[in-house]
Amino acid sequence: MKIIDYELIIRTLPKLLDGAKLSLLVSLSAAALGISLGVIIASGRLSKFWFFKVLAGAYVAFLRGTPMIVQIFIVHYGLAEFKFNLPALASGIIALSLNSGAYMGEVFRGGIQSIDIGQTQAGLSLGLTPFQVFRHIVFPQAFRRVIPAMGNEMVTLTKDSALVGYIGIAELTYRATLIASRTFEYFTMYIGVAIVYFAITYTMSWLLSSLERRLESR
Amino acid sequence: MNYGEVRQKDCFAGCCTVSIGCRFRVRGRGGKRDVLRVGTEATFPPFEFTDDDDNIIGFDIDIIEYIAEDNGWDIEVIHLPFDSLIESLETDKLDIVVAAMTILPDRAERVLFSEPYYDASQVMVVRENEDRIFAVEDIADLGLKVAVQMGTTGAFEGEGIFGDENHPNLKQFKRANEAFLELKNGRADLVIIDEPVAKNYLAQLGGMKLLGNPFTNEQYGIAVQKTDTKTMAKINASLEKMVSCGAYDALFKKWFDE
Repeated sequence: MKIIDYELIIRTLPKLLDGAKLSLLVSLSAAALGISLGVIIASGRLSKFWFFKVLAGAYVAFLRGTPMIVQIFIVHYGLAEFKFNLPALASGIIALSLNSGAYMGEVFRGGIQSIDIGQTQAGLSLGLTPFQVFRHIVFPQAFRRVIPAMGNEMVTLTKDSALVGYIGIAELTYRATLIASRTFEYFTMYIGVAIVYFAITYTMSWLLSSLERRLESR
Repeated sequence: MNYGEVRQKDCFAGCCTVSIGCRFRVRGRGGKRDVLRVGTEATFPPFEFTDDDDNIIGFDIDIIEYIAEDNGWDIEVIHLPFDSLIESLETDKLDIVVAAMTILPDRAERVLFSEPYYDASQVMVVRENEDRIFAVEDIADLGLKVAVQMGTTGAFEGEGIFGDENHPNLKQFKRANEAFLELKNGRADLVIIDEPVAKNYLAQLGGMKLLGNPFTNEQYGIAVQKTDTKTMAKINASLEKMVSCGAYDALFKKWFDE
């Protein structure tokens, strides 16, 4: 008995790559939306107003403290009961973005807080406005520091995109599962899929670490 | 139809509407959709399964394609977990479900079923080397492990046998093939599933046999959203036409003649 059915992989590769495109679409869209949401969450958590602080804190606690698949079902099936009906792809991207926003928010908060408060005070005493201090002093340093953590979150998101198959999005894992269901070549299909995911996440990590190096050398 | 391409196109279209509030676009269509979304669970041969090119094919698919053509509908077939199909109709994620679905009172409360289009029955499948002979009533007493597909009548039979849907000896899987693998790998003692599906997996996987006779009487129906009587009237009319013109028999022969 052969361990890996190469012929099957080659034959199904175009379908799998189509699925990988959807996985990428879901995870990259969710990362972009998650980063935007994360900025809002981080500003909330660092806000002087207790209301925003509590709101952002509660958001992070809830989204980090519940399973992603449950969040996906809430967005896709739960909300539909209240006439807020989204197509599967939209549900998938929104659920992943909401989840990622919580993590990204914490990443940004950590980055901003890692910049010594003395720098802000120095900037302010030189007559810069708080926004100028953030824009020219805190943000450039914080951004460089959060890249590795941001990269981690993007890799996590890519892997978690496998969950949206449950609501009928024909992403990579969904397609592989269907093929495995038909052929019973579970080892072959899932090893093949693992390699495709790894190629995606490794490329992501590599791109981000080269961005980090470029920013350092300046 | 090319399943992969259609799915992807729809998915991308869905994406673009996110920002402009697809809630309004998708709702309020009043049954006037360009493409009817047909849900199924494609690990249930010969009713619905995938061919080598990932197209969803089978008896049910041929039936719904006939009905669609009869009424001039464009359809898009979507594969979902079986236990999500009814929920998807209720929440307007699907327009039609054709999935070897038995007409049951509980289900009929939530969706609208067509006239029956297939008489089905559950069977027990065991490994070929199983030398015990037992009836459904003996399963619980013998402490046998039963593998079923979640949300199917087979699963409901299992729940009836153990009196508990979370009984440790009742193993529920999202896909039919996983239940058969569990049996083949020796982690379950039998599978309860619809007879034609059992025969199909028996032929494909080998090493298994049917035990006893079919023990339920069920009928499959096509389902639509609870209030969608208009689509249902058309489905029923087409089904009737299919039977009277002989197209149904031809399909039956195509998929069930051994």
